[in-house]
Amino acid sequence: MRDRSSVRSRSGGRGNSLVVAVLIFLAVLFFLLDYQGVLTPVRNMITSYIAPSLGGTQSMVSRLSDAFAGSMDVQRIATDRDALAKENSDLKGQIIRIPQLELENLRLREQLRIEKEHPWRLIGTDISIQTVSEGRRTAIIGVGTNQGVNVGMAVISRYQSSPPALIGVVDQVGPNSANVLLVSDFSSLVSVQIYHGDTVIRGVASGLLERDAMLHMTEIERDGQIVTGDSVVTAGLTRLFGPSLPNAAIPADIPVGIVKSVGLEGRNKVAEIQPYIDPEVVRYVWIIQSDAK
Amino acid sequence: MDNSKRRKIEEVVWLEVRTLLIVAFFVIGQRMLLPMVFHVAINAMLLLVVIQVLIEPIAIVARWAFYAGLVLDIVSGTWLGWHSILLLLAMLAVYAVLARITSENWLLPIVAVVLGGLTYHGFNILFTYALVGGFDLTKYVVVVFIPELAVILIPALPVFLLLRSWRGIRRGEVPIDVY
Repeated sequence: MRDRSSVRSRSGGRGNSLVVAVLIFLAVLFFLLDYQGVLTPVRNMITSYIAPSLGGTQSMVSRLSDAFAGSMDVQRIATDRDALAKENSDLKGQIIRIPQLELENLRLREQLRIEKEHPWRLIGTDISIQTVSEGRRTAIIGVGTNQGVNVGMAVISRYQSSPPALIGVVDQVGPNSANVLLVSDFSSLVSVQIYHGDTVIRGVASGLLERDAMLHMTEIERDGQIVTGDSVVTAGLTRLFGPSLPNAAIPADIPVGIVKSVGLEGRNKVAEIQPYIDPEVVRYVWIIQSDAK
Repeated sequence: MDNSKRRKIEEVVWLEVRTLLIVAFFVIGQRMLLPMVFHVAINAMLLLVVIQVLIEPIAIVARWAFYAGLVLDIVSGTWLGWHSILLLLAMLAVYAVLARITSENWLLPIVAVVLGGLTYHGFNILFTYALVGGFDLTKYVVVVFIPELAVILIPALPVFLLLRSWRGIRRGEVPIDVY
């Protein structure tokens, strides 16, 4: 038995086909224009507007619920105690701010400590949105050109006992937001090096499609001695060989991970690198604005 | 311009803005909240679009797909239109194959999600290959396609029943299920 009415209601007339055709045309047009860079400033501007608000969505929701609870309390208090209730509400607001201030203080102290240990000037920010679907791994952060962020800048973070390590590179930038290509994305390519004894072995680290995957190091010299447990850091080769390229902003010697295994792929030597930090678990990052103070 | 014409334009604009806002709400939920709750990427918009094709007129679904794609592009940092094209193609594939079958059939959402997922990811592979760079296709299928499809297959039937009931309530229909 078939319900013909439901079939008829869904099948479109000429008007429906026209709407679909127009929308497909618009989607293709937007895509081509953005691919050519015509719409990119518009997209970056929209992202700049929404990224900070999205980043603060969760804290705002919790604040709203607190404020709502506070106002309900006030309603229950007698009119002659209004002044006291207001004071109480203010104090509650301050108490809510304490953990935020403590966290901010902790992050700033962490930033100062990293800047003291390394010749880097950092900009700290929360990750607004992380995209880990369709095989891609990117993140949007709430700082952009207005804060001095440019394409190609290295993005680092710390997680638990890890050293400050590379988690990605700024890929696109708007006035108040930037898109970070995480090192674990399959299209990410970063020149890296390993200090082994008195030799330096260089190569290229790229991400893999697998989730929680290691990094894949290729282009290694065949006679280069690498063993499991060797530390991998950035090589900053773009700065040497292509100073005009965006990735020239990545300084050398940012920790990336440790060598987990070494093998051969055909005639080429390859290594699997366990990153110090899984880029998908971090929520706060620093962008290396410059490495010469 | 007389008042009735102006009012009609205002109504159309309001309808589009309302659709955009609802879709944006869903997309932000998909990108920000669902991964935090379930710890997996759930392509909720693909699910909603392919299920809606089975229930609503295609022009309405196409608008959902278009707006959802644009918002997804903004929050994902991809070129504008990328996700819109993928969602519209998935919608068209489902519509082309399943439009003539009654929406009362419970197997329909499962077939629609598989078909929509195949189209969506098929074109995503093509676009990514052509515009971003080459990758291992087998790995994509194992690591991205199968898990993402499996995750949206689970709620496919409940979402379909929910949306169908909602349509029935709006129209005052009595539900009759056909097996």
